[in-house]
Amino acid sequence: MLKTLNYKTGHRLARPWGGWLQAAALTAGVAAASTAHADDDGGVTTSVEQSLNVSVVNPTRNVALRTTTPIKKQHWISHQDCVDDAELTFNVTVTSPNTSNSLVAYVGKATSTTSSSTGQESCLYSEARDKLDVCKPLTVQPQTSTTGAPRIVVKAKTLNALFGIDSCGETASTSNTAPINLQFYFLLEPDARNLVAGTDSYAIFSGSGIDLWGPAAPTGVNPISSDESLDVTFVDTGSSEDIAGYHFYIDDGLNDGGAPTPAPMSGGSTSTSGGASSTTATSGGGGGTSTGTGTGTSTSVGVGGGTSSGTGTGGAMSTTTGAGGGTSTSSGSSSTSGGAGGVSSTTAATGGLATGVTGSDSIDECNPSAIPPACTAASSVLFGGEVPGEDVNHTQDSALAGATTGTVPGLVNGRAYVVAVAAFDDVGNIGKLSELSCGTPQPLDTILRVYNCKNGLVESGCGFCSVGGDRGGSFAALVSAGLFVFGFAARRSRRSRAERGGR
Amino acid sequence: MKRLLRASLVASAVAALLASAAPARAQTHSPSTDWRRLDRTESLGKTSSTQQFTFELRFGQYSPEVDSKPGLGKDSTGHLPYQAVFNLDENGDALSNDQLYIGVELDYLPFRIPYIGALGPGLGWGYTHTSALAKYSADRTKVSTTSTAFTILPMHLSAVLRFDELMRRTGVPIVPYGKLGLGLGIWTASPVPRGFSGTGATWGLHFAAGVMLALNFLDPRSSARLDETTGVNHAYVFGEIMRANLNGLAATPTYYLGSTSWVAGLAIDL
Repeated sequence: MLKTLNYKTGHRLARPWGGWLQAAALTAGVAAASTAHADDDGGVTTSVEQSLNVSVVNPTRNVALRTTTPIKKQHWISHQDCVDDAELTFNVTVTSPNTSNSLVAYVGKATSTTSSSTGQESCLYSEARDKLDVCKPLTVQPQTSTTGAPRIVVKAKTLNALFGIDSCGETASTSNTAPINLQFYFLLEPDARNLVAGTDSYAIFSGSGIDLWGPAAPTGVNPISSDESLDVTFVDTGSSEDIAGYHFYIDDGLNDGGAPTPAPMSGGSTSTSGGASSTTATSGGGGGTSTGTGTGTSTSVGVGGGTSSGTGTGGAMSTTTGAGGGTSTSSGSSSTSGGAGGVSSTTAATGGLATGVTGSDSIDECNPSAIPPACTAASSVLFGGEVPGEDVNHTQDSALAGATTGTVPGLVNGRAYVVAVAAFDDVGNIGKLSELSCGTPQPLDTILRVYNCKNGLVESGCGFCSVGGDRGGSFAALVSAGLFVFGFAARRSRRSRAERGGR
Repeated sequence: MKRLLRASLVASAVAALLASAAPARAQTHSPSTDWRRLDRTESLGKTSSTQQFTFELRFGQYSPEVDSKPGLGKDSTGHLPYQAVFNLDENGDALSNDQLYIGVELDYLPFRIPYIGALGPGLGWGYTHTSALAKYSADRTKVSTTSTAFTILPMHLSAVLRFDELMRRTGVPIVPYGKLGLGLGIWTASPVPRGFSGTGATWGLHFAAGVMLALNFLDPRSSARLDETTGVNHAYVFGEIMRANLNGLAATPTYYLGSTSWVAGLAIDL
C-alpha cells in the first residue's frame, strides 16, 4: 500500500514576509539578482537570478499512525510508514527561471556545518555534493501540465536504501535506535557552487527524517499488587532520545487460544502451586504449554488449543487437541502443580501460573485467605526482548515520557497477569518489550471495600434522603431551594424598601 | 500533622487580628494637635451603609461520624471501618478522627427584628478530606502503595439569626448568632472497585451557634473608610459550635457524614 505524505510548507523567497510558511522546517537562500561575490575558490561568480519557491502540495497527511499527542515529527518516516511504503512528495516552483539552470535535489543527513572548509557535509557545498555517500541525488520529475511544477517523489524504502537501511530496518542492529535527521536540498545547477546563506538561491527542507526503530526496552519491571490493578515500576535505560511514553502489556491467558472464559486455567507454563479443584468446571481453555503435573480428578472433553507436556494426574487429559480444555466434572486435588488447562469455577489452583487463574473471580475480597504466592512470568503472546506484534493489546493508560511508574487498571483480583513494558517514540515506533514479570492484583482495605465488607453500603428509606452519585439530584435540589429562598427574601426586601420609600 | 494545621490556622487568625490592630495603635499615638475625633463610633453608626449580607471564611475541625452508622461490623482488631482505614497508627492503635475543615458561607439577612437582630437564609459550603495508604486485606500488616481517600463536602441551607442589636445599640462589639437548616453532605471515595459508586450524598439537619467579635473598635476611622469605599460594615472574628447531623434524616444513608465541630474564622458584613 502506498501512502502519500502530503505537506503544506513553503517559503516564498520573492516575498520573504509571505505568511504561509513553516520557517522552522524550511530555510532558503534569498534571491540576489545580478550581484557578485567571491566564491570559495577565490573566483568571482554571479549569483543566480532565480528565486526558488519550494512548496509541497496536497497538504493533507494521513496521520492515523501518529497516536501521540501532540503529533510530533509528522513528516518523518516511521517503521509503519515504511511498511506502507509512504511517499514524500515535494513540488518545487522556480520563479524567474534562467533557462541555463536546472533544478536539482539532494538529500543528506542533517548537519550543522556551515563553513565551506574541506570535509563539510552540507550539500550546499559542491565538495559534499560530489560525494555520493554524503549527498544523495534525487530524481526531479519535470514540470508537466498535470503536476504544474517540478516534483521530487521519494518513497520510504528508496530513501532507506539510500542510507544503507535494508527494507524497513528489520535487519538493522538491535542497538541502532537513533533516528536519522534528514535535509532535502533544492538547488539550481550549474550555477550552484558553494552556496552562501542569505546570498544565494536555494531551499532546504529539514523537517524530515528516518526513524524505524523504537526505543530500547525498559528494565527492572516490577508489578506491585494493588486493588484490581497493578502498579508497575520500571527503569528506562536512557539510551533513546525520543521516547514519547510507555505502553504496558498484560497477558491473563484468556486469549491464548482454546475456549475463553469463564475462569480458564489454560495451558501456560510451568506451574508451581497446587490447589484443590473442588467443583465443577465449565469449558476448557487451552493454549500454552503446560509442563506441570498434578493430581485430581477430572474427566475432560478437550477443547482448547496448545499442547501439554504435562501429564498430570489431574484427571483424564484431553486427548484431542492438547492441553487445557476439558471439563472438570468432579473434584480432586492438585498437590503441587496443576495439570493442563481445565477450567475450574472455584478455587482450584492448577496449571499455567502465568496465564492461569488461581481462584480468580471467586476470591473472597473481604477476607482473602492469604497474599497470593509469586507467579511465574511466562506467556505465549508476550516475549521479552522482542517488539510486540500489532495484535497484542496494551493498556490505554500508558505512562508519559520520563515516568518510571504506571498503573494497569481494570484487572481481576486474584488472577495472575504477565506484565511487560515497551517504550514508544515520537513517531509511534514501539520498542522492544522488557523482560516479563508477573503480578497478581489483590484486594486492599480501601474505604469503599472495607465499608462494604462491614455492611456499610446498606441503604434504606427514601431516595431523597440518601442518594448515590448516579442518582444525584440532591445538590441540584439544594441549590434550587436556596435560590428560591433567596429570591423570596429579596423580593420581600425590595417591597419593604419600596413601602418605606413611599412613606 | 492535623494539630499542626490547626495551630497554623489559629496563628493566622491571631496574626490577622494583630495586623488589623496595628494601625489602630499608630493612630492612638497620633499627635495631640489632631483635632479630629478618634472615636466616632456613634456617628458612624448613623451614617454607615446598609447591611444585608454576611460572608464567612471558616476553618475548623471535622470528625466524620461514618462509623456511627448502626450495623457496622468491626474488624478482627475491634476497629470500625473508617477508623481502621484512616486512623490507625503503625502499631494499630486508634488515632483521633479529627480532620481539617474549611468552608465559606454567605448569609442574606434582609429581615430585621426590632431589638433582636437580623434574620435571613444562609448557604454554606465546606470541604474536608482524609487519605491513607491502603493495607492489603490478606495481610493488614503490609501497606500498599495505593492511597485510599474520602472527601466530604458538608453544605447547608439554613435560617440565620444574628443578634446584632446589642452591638448596634450599646456599642458592645459582640454578636451572638444561631443557624438552623437543612444539611447535605456530598462524599467521594477512592479508589472505586468494580461495581461500586465512588460518590453520593447524605441529607440531614444543620445547627450552629456562635459568637462574633466585631473588630471595628480597633480602628473606627479605617472601618468607616472601608465602609465608604467597599461597603463593608464590620469585620469579625468568630467562633462557632456546629452540628452537622448528616444521618439521612428518616432514611439510612450510605454514609453518616455528620460531625460536631468547632469552627473559627473571619467574617464581614456587606
